[in-house]
Amino acid sequence: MDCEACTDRMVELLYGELPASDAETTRAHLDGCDECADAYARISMGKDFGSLLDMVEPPVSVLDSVMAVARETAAHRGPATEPALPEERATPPRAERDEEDGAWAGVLRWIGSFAMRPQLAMAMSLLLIVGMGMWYLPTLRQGDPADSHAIVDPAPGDEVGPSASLEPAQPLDLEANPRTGRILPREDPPPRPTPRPRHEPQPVVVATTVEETPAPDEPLVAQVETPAVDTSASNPPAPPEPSPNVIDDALPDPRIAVLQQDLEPGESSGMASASTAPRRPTRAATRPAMAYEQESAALPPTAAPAASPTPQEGSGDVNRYERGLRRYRERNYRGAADDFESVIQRPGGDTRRLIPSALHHLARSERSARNCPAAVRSYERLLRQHPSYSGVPEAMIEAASCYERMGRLADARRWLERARTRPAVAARANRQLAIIAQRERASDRVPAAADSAEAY
Amino acid sequence: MTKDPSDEELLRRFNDGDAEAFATLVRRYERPLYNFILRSVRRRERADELLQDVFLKVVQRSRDFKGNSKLSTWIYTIARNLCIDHSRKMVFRRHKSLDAPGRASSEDGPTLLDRTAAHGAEPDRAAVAEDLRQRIADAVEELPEEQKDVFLMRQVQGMRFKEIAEVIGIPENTVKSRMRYALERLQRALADYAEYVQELK
Repeated sequence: MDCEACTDRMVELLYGELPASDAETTRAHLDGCDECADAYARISMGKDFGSLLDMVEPPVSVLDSVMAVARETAAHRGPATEPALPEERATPPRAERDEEDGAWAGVLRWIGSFAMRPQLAMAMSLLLIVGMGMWYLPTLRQGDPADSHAIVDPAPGDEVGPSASLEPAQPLDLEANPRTGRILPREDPPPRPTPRPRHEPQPVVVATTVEETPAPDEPLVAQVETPAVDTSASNPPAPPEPSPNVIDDALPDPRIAVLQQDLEPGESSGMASASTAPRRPTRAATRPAMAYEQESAALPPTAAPAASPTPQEGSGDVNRYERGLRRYRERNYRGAADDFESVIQRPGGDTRRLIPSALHHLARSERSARNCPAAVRSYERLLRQHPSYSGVPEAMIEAASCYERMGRLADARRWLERARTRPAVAARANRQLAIIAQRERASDRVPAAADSAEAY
Repeated sequence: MTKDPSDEELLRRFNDGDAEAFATLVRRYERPLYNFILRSVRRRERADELLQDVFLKVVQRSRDFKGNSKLSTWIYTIARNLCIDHSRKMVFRRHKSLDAPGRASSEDGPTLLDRTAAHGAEPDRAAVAEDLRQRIADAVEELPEEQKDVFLMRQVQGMRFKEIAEVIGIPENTVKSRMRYALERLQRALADYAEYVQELK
């Protein structure tokens, strides 16, 4: 051992922390090295001086206060093992206190025990904030045009109509079913009297909820851009210009023209959407009209589909189409599909423009009849052959829904990706894409979980 | 004869609600801990407060002690941190205690030879012992802080060098070096009393 190693071990040797073997080696070195022996003697003397250091006693009062706190803390943490002194029993047991003070005092004492807990205080504060927020929310939403329209997130596989929150409220022919309490479209809208000479405004029924799925009897009647017909002009109305976005299905219903011929100059046809001249030039004028409004616009008021067709119609194709609509409303999807199929297979001169709508209704009828494979064929045909049909965005969403029901998520995603480029249905498409992604992740997780279970 | 429970066992009992276990802990640590604090801060009133603070922190944070080290290490870590905080506060107004005696060096006061000469050929051994105790206290107080901490923990509390290294957060070899320097410094400061101490031994 050299002197450096000996110096390193001197202190340990002095305080007895050196292992026996090392201690012996170090002592042997100290015996033979005067320099190291002197150094060891110096620190040994220092230790002797240190051992004479006076130990000062701490004041008792300090420790008394510490022990008081310790006893209090121990009492909160658990049962004290030390016997309680008789004089320490300052508070009687709870049962005795309840007897003395009454049951209410016990309840109040129990509530009071929670009063100062910070967690409870935080929870109460949070509840108060949430409560105030919910209290003021209806007040803040007053005047919001979207207030009366709830936006319902669709369940996977279903779809909802476009949120009306961005559109002006549309009058709908609705009635409450007294048996179920549901608000449904009126089965047979009562024939509106032909207003002469002025059109009385119809009472507007605003839907307060959006059905999660479109009512099966909600016909998507020819989503035709119906230009306003100014019947007050002395000259006969000029033939409407077709919208550049709408092809053949944008042509006006010939029945409207027939009806207009019966009107005197200045008279109104009384049709809700087609004849109200001072209609605001809003997006509602160019977007696909709401189904029931559109239906009432497309049909003359006195021309109930099953009752007495207008003599001028005369076309069996139109009758088939209207019968299909009626059957669709009556949930006779098979019959409706047959009618729409016949319209598509044998289009007449007047019904050629109805082909996209009939195809769309055919697809919807098949979808409602749970015949998704046939429905997707019709949807694919509609989307391929009539890309400029105004109901294409809706059809994309519906086709995706059918594919999703069939488990063909890739095809569903394909149509939803296209639908998300259409502003009218972009939000719904995004929501549905998110749902599909969630389903795909869930399906991916299932085998992983199984694997991990096997691993254990 | 039953073996005394360990410090860690006593703390566990205290956490279970046994106040008497904590009283036992206090009795074990109060004296060395108080002297450790007193030698660090030099003033009794501050030492009283800091001792109280140390035990109160132990009470409050007793459930934070995970048992990864010895309880003495944990307690002395608390005590040392409090002493360091106090030293930082007092750094601008540090002064010698008014009742502190003079240093043991030749420049600061009479040597033992001077005093024994003044008292005659047979000095009063009790007076020498009293003087020596005071000189030792002064010498310890004059140690550099890093050496004083090590010296007090080893000499007063009896902690092993490894535990001291954990408390201070330095390598064990550094602790040993500091201890050796502290002992040598004490020996130099109190060399006049070497013969007397040898006689006491």
